[in-house]
Amino acid sequence: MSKIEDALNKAKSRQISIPDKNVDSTAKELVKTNLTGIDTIQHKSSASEIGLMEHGDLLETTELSNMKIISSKMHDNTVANTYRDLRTKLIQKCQGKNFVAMLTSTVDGYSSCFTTVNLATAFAFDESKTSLIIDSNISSPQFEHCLEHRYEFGLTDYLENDDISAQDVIQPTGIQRLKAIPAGQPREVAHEYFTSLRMRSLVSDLIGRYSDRYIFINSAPISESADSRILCELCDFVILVVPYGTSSQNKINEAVESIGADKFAGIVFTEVPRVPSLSKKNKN
Amino acid sequence: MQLPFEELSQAIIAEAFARRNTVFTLFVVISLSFLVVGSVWPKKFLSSVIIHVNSENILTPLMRGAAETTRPTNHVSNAQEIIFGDLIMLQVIKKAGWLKTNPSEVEIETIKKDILEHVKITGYGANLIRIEYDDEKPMRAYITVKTMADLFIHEGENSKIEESTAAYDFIEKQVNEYLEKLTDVEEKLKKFRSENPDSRSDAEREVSARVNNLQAEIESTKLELREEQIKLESLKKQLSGEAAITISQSREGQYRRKISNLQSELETLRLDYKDTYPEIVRIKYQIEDLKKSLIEEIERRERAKLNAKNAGETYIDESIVLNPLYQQLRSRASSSETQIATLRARVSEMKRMLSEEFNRTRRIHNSAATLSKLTRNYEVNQEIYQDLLRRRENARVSKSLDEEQKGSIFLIQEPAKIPLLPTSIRFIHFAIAGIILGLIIPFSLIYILLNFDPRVRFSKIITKEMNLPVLAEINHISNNNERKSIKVNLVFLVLGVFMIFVIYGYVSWLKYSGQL
Repeated sequence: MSKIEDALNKAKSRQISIPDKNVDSTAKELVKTNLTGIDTIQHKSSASEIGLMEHGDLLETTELSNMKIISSKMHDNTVANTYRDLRTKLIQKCQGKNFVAMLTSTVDGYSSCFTTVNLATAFAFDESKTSLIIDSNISSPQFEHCLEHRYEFGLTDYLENDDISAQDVIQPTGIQRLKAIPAGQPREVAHEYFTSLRMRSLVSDLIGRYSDRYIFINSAPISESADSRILCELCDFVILVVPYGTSSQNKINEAVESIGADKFAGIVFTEVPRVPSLSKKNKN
Repeated sequence: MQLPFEELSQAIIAEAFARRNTVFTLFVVISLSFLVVGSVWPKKFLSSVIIHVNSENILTPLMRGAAETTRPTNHVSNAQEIIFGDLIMLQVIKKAGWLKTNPSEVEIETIKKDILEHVKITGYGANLIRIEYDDEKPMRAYITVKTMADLFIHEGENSKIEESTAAYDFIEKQVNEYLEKLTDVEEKLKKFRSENPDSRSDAEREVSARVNNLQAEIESTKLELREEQIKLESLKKQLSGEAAITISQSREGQYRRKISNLQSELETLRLDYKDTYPEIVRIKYQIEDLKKSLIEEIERRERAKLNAKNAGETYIDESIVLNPLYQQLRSRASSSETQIATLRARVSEMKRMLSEEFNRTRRIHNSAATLSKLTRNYEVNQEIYQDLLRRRENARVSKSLDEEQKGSIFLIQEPAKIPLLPTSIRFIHFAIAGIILGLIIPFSLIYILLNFDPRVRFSKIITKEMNLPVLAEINHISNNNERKSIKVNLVFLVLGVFMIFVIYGYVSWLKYSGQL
């Protein structure tokens, strides 16, 4: 446990270094949200919480762009706009309520991870919303690759250890209003993690805590992973990520069937190739 | 699923961009290989000649029936036969300069085969023959075609002349043969005629007339003979005994007539004179004498008669024999006998002649058969000979026609030319094809990939065909590093394309300056 404790201490030390200007700006935004946020009465008010959210060191647009994560200032905002549209569609689908969405892909790889991160980022563009991404790829954690950050502990640690609270595993991503629960240390032995009550309570706790928190779970390809199918039960809906030119119609149908008609929200077709405009310089 | 063109083309471009290195490599490989192939591709120069073959020349209708024009039936196969023959081919090989390297027999055979493969003889319409030949060297192509055409025409005309000459010679030979035969038969005929004078055509008529004549003459001669015999018979009768009696009786009668005459004279004298009158007395005496001589005469006659009767012969009184009448009768009888003998001889002579004539008729018939045989022979021979003579004249005209080439059948319609440009696919074609195919092939492959790869590449397929909702279609995000590497990559690709064009230019320059 000493390792985990070390990690916790490290994380706490990172949380301390929150720049003050961020607190100010979020406080202002919180007032705005309070004035307009009529539907958040039954939930805990998130304004103060959001204001107090710890983001760690925020990443620069260039860095984000290099990590292929969208930002509001990126030089080619077509992708960002696509994510914004997707965000709008999902909010409409849930009639304004926050939700737990699972993103799974038809193929192995990081496509669902990038989509999860970017979709969550798109939600986090909105100053009144926060988003949380959970990596459920226990066998091969993906956030470290996508977010280019090494996480010491994560979901598996939480599920295995009752002493660790949910707040302990929620970690900053360097993106404003976006937190992450990484998969944690890769586990060789497959435990029935997601059938546990602890997992169920984690999800309901996380969604229930803030009315403007949106949770996105990145899971392994659903047709190949039993875990993902279990996780479906915990989610409001499932988005299937189909990367360009990778999956046959059969494979897509298989995945859709695995998800089940009640949970299936739709397909996000990603990695569509295009000729990039090279002339435009990065705005930064 | 049929995608709209715009979407498809965008997808192709995007895919091509994503696979730009592969596309570029394909382009390089294809264009350079075409360049290489184009630069080593053998050039082909085609030279051709068109020959007009006049099978129905202007002389044909004019000379119809009089002279036969020799004509080939199938010009193309005829030309092939002639041109592909060793006679022409060897000359072609020699003239076109294949023998410069002193090839062996086997090599010559190979060269011949090679040339034959490149020669094309085609017929256009009924009268045109086109001879084509392609070669790597324009001059050789020209010389080959020209030689072929010239030799073909020469051979064709020669063969025509040969043909008509042979025909003429043949007919001439036949004419001579028949002339000989005819002369022979003529000679035989002449000999036969001289040997058989009866063999004249009017001989038979002559003979029959003569037979008729002879027969008529025999008849008449026989009649004459008969007459003469009767005459002789009667003469003989007259000269016989009865006749003598008659004659002697007539002597008695003379006596009696003299007695009666003297009697009457006595009577008359008695009227004037007495019986004593001398004259009467003398007459009386005379009568007495006469009566006496008369009795004597009767007695003598009776005696002679008796004697004759006893002797069994006609009694002819001497007086009768000495009678001039009797003499006359006898001479007449003898002349009549002579006449009979003459007539008999005549008849027998004429009969001999008749039989001779009959023999002659037989001979005439025999010789007529032989003659008609000979004549028939002669006539047949003569007929054939005359026909051949006419034919020989026709053949002579045909021969001289061919010789003077007035009825010439071969005319060069389009002479051979030295080909200036190769007819085969040229370097420029390869170069252009290389670039175009270098572009088309990779893009076509991408098109095929897009159409036939079962992996979904269009969100429309998901929405339209699978009826699944597509929430978003997200383009590939490229970061700065990627963009940078793309830029570098693109620079290299542009440089690569530039290099390709430089290589193209260089090779083309080498090619057209003749160094390659």
